[in-house]
Amino acid sequence: MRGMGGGPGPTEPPPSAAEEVVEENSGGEEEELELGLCLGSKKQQQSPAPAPCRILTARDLQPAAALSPDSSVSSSSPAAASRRAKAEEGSNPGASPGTVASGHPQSFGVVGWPPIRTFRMNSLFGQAKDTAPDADTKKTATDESELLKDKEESEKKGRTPGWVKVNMDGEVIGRKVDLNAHRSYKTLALALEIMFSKPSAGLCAPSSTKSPRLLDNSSEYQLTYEDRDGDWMLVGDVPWEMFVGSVKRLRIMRTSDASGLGPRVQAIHRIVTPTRGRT
Amino acid sequence: MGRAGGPAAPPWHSLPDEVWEHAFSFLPADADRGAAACACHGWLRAERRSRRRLVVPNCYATDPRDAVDRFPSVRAAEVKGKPHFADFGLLPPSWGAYAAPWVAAAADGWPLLEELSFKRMFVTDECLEMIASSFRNFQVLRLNSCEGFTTAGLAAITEGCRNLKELDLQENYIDDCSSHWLSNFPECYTSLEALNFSCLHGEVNFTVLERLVSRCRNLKTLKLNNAIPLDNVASLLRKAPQIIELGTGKFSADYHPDLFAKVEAAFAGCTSLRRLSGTWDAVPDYLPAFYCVCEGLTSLNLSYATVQGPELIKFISRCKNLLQLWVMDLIEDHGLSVVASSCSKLQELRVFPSDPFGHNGGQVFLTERGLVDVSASCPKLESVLYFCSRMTNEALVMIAKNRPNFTCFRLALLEPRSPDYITRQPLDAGFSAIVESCKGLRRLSMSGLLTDLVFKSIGAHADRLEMLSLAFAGDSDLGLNDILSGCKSLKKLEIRDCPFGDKALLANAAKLETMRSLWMNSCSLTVGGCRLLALKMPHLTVEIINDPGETCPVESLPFDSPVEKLYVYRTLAGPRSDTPDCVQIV
Repeated sequence: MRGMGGGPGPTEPPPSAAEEVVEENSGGEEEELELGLCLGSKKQQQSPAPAPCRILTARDLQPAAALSPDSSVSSSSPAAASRRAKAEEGSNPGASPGTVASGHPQSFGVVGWPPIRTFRMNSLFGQAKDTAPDADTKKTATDESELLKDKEESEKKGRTPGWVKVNMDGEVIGRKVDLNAHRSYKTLALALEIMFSKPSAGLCAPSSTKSPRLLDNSSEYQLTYEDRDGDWMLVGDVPWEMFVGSVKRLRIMRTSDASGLGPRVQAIHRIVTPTRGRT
Repeated sequence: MGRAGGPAAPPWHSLPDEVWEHAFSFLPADADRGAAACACHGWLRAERRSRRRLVVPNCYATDPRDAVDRFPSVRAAEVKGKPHFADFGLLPPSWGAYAAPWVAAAADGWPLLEELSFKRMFVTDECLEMIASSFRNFQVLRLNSCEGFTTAGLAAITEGCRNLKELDLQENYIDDCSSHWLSNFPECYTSLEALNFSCLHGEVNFTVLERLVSRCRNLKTLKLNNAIPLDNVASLLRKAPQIIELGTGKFSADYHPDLFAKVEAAFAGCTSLRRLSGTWDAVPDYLPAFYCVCEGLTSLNLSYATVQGPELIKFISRCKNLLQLWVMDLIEDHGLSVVASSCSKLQELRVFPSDPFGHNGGQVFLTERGLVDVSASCPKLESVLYFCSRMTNEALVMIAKNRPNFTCFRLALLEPRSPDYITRQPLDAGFSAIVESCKGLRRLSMSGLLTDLVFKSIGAHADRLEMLSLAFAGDSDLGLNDILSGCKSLKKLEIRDCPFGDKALLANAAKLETMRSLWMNSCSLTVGGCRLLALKMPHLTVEIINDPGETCPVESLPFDSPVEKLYVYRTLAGPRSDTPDCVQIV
């Protein structure tokens, strides 16, 4: 399905593993990437294929997934292997071998996409229970009741729930992401990565792709969130549902600033600092 | 003109204005009237004084008082506010588009106003109270995608507007104050012809509703909300068999033969029913109760019905006279091929996604095939909105060849930048075929992987295109430049997440004044570029929009600071004064 894209081939860690250490095969050049928003490059990039930014990763991502903004070119969602397998099983009998997992969009959680009126979204979420035959296999009872409650509240207020702000250190302008559009940390991480990299990358040079890195030891950035109590926490420790229930906003923090976030982060900090000759 | 005729005939220029006003009444199109008004002062005077219907597509294009002064005899006015992308949550809630100044100006200058429509505007209860008390012959109120009011405001309308014929509330966010707005219609009131409260969440008093429906013998349109159970819908229909347009309430219940019989009998009596919508939670068990009306239906909106394909197909295949069909992608390709063969008169098709984020593992089998079939077999098809997950250039080329009569083509591929799923190529060739073949295309929304090439085609061929929506498309400023330097008829351009910067805008600044508006978000614009644009074009308002609470005064930002959201529109009124903090006009 997804081409190897010429990127590195990190070992795919089992989903339950803690941090993974992803080896980049072309370490130096990617570290200089400018982490600008998709608005204006602060630094001269070589056209026509400026290297995209690598800031995030998801723990149990498919190997060598091409993760430039045009990674969606292959149109196959880098979703959980189980999800894709399911889609393939259920895929259109009429589909030719070259088709991707049918009808399974990579959820970007970008504000306003797909272009469905918020009024319709609010109405539909109240109906979302049995849209597909096996819709509920993944949902837990708590999930649904929480979702329904959110939808009811939002219907009252007339606003789509689940949008949280995302700010990145060094960027003045933040973004918003719809947590309801995601079911796991990895799709969220991917979405954020794409959001905070230049969409104009076009067809990016295969050699510059590497897996997204969230909460990765060697990443320059960490994904953190502010919870209901006002504390800043590292994303990824608690189950997804619990995270969604308590997150107020997200921040992509420089690892160097993340020292207050707990022993794990401090360990990362110790590992990272001595080798940060690449900046 | 101006040459005197024989001794008995008056010169043209001294014909009384009433003659010209009568002549202009045969020009229904505003554009034609506008053109006539430009001919000379006499015609200007006659035209503006006789104008009965006014549409203001951008509420900030003019001061409301100027509009009222210029057209003092208006009886029906329609005003639109926020830009289209507000529908997708891209605009901060406090942005503006307040109806109050319009209502105030109308109350002052149009005492004989009969109809008022607001779309995407902020309407308050005070506005509604003022409407109720200012126009003695007020008949029609339409609020579409508005917010800011409650059922208390509605109560003022139903109580105060003795001649109300139409109350149409479409997709508004209305706070329920448990106000008995429906009960406020006086007992002697019988002139209601159209009532749409489908967007209200709260319960309404059914007895009151039933009595209202019984006594309003001219009721033609009734669109209920989700709180009205099936049983009650049937009762209402028995009281109003003359109905032409129905929005059902909650269309599900446990199957019971008595209830089924009741519903079926009620529908059987509605021989004039032509348009059907609502059907939330529709269960297949009750769909057959509709079968008797299928043949007469011209418009069917099942876009909230999460009914699976086979039941949908059974239903739709009976609707041989459909002109307009809105449905969920649960109909799948197979269902659309049935539509193609059954609904030969179809003019408009909209297919909405049941699973926009792919949470259900992509089980729905709606692909490009469905659209190809429908466009091949429905010769009158001219308007399409199609959400699906995959597309090919070949399919688009076929569609373009089959249906050169498209006036509106909107394709939303769920995943941004999806290429042709077979060849992996951009969809440039497909969309180019569409614009080259469909010479009458007025509205286009594109998605999928698109390079600058497609914009070359659009700029060159899309002469009648009035509205263009782009997302995650293009490679460079060249793309935007091709659009702005071509597309002779372009009025509205909305762009998100495309790598377009200031250069193309500045090079085509004059074009922006020939357009109604331009929206761009998440592109490559800079504060400096926007400032330059504003300087260059004094009749444009250039708004930089941030998220609420994240304001940085534009003056203090360096030239190359990125601009997240830009809204540019032409205006006669100068910069507006009601901007929230997060909006800055440069």
